[in-house]
Amino acid sequence: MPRRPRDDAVATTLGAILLLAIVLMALITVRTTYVPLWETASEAEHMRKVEGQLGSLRADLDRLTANRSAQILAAPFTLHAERTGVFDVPKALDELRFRPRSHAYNFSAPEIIIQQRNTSSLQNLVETWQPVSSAPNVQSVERVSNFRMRIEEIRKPGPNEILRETVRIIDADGDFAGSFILEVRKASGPDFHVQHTTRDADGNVLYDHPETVFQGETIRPYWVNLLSTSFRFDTVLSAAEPPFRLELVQQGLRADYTITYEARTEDGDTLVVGAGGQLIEDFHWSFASGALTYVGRNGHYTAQTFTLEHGAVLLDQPDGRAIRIDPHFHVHRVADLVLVETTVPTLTGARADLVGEAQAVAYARATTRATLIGTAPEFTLSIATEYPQLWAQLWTQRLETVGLVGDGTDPNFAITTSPGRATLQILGIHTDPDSPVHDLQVTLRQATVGLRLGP
Amino acid sequence: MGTPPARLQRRRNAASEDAVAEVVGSILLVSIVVVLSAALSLVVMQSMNPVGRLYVDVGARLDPGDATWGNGNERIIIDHRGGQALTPTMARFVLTLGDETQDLRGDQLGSAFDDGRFNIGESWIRVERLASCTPVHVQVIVTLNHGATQLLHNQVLTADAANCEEET
Repeated sequence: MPRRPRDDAVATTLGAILLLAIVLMALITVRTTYVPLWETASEAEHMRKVEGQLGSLRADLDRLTANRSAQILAAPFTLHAERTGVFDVPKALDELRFRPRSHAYNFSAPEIIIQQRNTSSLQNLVETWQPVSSAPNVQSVERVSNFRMRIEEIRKPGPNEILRETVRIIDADGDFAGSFILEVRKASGPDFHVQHTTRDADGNVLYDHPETVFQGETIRPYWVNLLSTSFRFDTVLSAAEPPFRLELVQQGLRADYTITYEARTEDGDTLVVGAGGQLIEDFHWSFASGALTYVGRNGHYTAQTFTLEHGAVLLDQPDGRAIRIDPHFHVHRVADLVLVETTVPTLTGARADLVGEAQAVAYARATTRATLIGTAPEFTLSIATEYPQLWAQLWTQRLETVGLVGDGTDPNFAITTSPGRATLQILGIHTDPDSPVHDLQVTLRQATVGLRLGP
Repeated sequence: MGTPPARLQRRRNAASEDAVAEVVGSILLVSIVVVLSAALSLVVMQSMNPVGRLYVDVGARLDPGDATWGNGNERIIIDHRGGQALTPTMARFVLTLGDETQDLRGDQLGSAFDDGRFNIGESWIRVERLASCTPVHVQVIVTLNHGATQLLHNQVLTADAANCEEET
């Protein structure tokens, strides 16, 4: 009998090949189908975490700007996304870097009346006077804290002539709520009378000053404090339903007035408007303000670069850019007054690059703080940035929200961009460059924050 | 020693041919297993297409167009704020204005999708008539592979919200 060949090994070999094929199939499936999804999810979550960490740092900077504290705040950053182990492919390392920039945040105005500088109020130093003819209405008034009138010259009126300055209060419902009238009438001989009359909402006379008789041809200047308790006009103002409007009408006189009042903005806030201050011409304010950048070199998810500069967090991707956390740049409007409020933590420190570390920490400490509140006929804000178009979009959106326009023949503002810089010039409601009317109120809060990066 | 007998020689030749058949048979079997395994892998890999998700940040807002609400130039704006791009084949914008619902998809999306992609930094804008205090429900939905859907954004906005707190 011939010996039959043994085929046991064939079955084992086939089984081994089959198992190997199944394992290989599983590995290939995982690598080609699941790993990209896991990697994408991991990188996306990591970028969200980084954005959150930048947001936390921005919040810390806000606190450093607002509070008078020398405390050092530490903000951690995670530089690596969690990977899928043996399945992942090597990718370029993420990077955290800081680039200082000098003269990166500039504020300037041809003239400005500073009401507050740092902690010193200058409101009582110089009052802001404006002619009744150029600003005859004061709108959205909640409460008046200072209201004085100055008539440069009161001349002797003609025989049947009455010279008059009238302040009428129109309340929130559009109803008459009281008035103050200054009248000049000719008296006998060379004299003439100046008479003050206050009426309440019902037209009742609360005050009617006995005639004041002057001799001579002119009085210059003539001052009236409308909130003087003797006139009782302050009680009429207090009784008016806010927000009310003050209408100033003049007949035969040329008066200026100064007023400080609380105004109600369109979104319901209350702001002090029209306070006096220190007049400074050709005003310039400049700060160093660097940029903290996180470069996420993702292999599967979109490559993303976050930048924290001038209080904003910006996101740059290969297909576009966007602002992720808005800076504190708010614009309100009260009638013909535009209120611009901005808070800027400006970063300073040495140039730094962190690559290849698992973790990094940004240490922040405010070294100086500054506050500027003032009024101006126009001002210019110029910043150094790698993203001028984003800043231009933000400014345009905020200013257009309150009805200002940046184009046409009579723009209220102008924005120019160039590589590395964005510039905003606000002309206000009175767009004539020679207009003396201070129709812009600026509140600028700044803190110089020293930044140091460490592993 | 001489030549083997013819019968013995025939027997030896037959045994050699048996070995050839065994080897050929084994090779054939291995080949069949390998081919079947490869085919099975292909089928499994094609059928195992796991559902991923999209990582996109969008935000919605309302704009009066001018200073007045309700005059027909109000705008519903959806901003792409970062992450992956949306395409008109995957995206649905569902807008509910009061009692009216608009389910926009594909070519109906227009606007920012004109170039085939809705990218970071772009804004999708739809002009509507929105009276003050009108609630606007904005939903951004994407359809993933296998027909799965993902709700990217879900927000109820109010036109002129600052002036209609009681209503909201």
